[in-house]
Amino acid sequence: MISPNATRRIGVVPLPIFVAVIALFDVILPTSVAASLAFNPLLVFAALQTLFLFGTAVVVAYISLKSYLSGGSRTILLLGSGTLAWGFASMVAGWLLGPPGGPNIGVTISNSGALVSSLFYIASATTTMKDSSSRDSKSRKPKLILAYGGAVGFLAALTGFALLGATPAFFVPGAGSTILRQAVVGAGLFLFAASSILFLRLYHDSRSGILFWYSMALALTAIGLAAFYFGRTVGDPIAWTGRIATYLGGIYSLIAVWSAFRGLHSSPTGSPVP
Amino acid sequence: MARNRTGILELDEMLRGGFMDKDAVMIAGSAGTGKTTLALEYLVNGATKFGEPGIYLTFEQLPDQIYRDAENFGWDLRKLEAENKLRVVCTSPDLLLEPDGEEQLLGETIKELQPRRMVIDSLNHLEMYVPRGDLRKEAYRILMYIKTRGISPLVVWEAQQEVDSSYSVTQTGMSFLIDCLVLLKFVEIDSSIKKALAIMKMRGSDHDKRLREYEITAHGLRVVAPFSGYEGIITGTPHRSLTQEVAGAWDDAFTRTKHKQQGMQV
Repeated sequence: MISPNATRRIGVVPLPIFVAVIALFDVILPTSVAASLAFNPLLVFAALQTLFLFGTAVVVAYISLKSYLSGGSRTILLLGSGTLAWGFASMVAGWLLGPPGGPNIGVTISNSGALVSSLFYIASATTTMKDSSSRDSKSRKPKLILAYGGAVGFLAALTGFALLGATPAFFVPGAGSTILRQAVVGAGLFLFAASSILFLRLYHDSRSGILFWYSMALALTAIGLAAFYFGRTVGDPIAWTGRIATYLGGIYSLIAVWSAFRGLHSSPTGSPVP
Repeated sequence: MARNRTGILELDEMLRGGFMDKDAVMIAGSAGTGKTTLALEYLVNGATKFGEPGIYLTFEQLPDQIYRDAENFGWDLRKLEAENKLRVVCTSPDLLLEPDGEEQLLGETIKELQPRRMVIDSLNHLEMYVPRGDLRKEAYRILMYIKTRGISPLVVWEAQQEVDSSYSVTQTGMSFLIDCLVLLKFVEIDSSIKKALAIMKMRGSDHDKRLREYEITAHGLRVVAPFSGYEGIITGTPHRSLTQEVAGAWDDAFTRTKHKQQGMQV
């Protein structure tokens, strides 16, 4: 049987691999070659986004919902809202990547969702530093509805505006990413990475498997966003590397839930698995 | 439909407004759960808040003891008696069980006070004075006497709480006599003893089906929150549902203050 530490060491391995592959592609792939290698099977992409990002986000958001309602931790509320925002935006982007709006709509929603989500995550990660539990149990449900509903509602409204062409361009076919997209993705990438590091610090205190796998999930999402940042066009090898990193991030977040499910997240005296 | 409010806000909400008028109500629970406190509060609130005089018929305690205990909750029973809003009747069960005993014991008081509520504390004492199997018949006779005089009866029943918890209220064989059954019991949750209240039965009315935590405060009984996320409380094996367990572990992992409480190095 593999020890928890070994499992976690294995869990870290994909991160440098993804970074190396993205860096390699960035060096060896000229824009023209990357464009010719672009691969966008719309239905498959939509299904992958729905399954690995939205599906996993729903699970995490649900556990966070139950946790917040019983414990009242604002950290959990913000985390649940962030994961729901990311999952929702990813799913909508997956289904809207193709015509009639072209890739700009999907890219706009996905990247904006990443930024919104990362803002929730960084807020969540910073609240772990202080006592952030709400004692007033009656106000939890309204706050939950406000946070979850606000995250999804904002992105739904953004989707509507994007479909109406009322949002600034994120991606121009033939020209590539706009400065706005670079800024949004860059900010999202930074905030995801920072959140991951903050949660990882908490992990070093508690040795909780939940924290470890969730930190890794956020780090993989940050790597995915880095790929979008460096990608030449939608669906090129760098973009797919990033997509796979985010899908693996979704799986890691499920492993975090699984750790909680098994009740085996580590403690100084407990037996940590996985 | 007329309701008899208990005056305990959350309990009245659970009862959808209060006990149904003239219904026979039973408060069952083991010793120390607060049955007498709840029964007295029902009477005191009826007399002071809702203009419904009441009789407290007890076989259990001596009057001085009752007045003293009530005073601890801020209820001045002597004052209520002086104002003709309440009567405390301490007697022996055998007097009530004599032929026409209820009329001799309560007739005058009922005429004088015109009560709307009456508490009998407790049926267990009657049980000691009647032949085995006759309790149902005697209880029926007494309850009918009270009801036919336009009074809503509330009886107290001390039920043994077994280790596996099951309560033996229905084993008394009086279920058919009782229109509303309020169960009070101790539960062990997260290594601490808590008190739980449930409305097990309420004929002809909807009611809150959830088990609620309650406390005995300096002002009487206070119903707190439902035991959400726990299963098996009634059967005496409370445990959190699987989802709640996961949610709890999730909360523990992400909440730094809890790590501090658990003595982890932060």
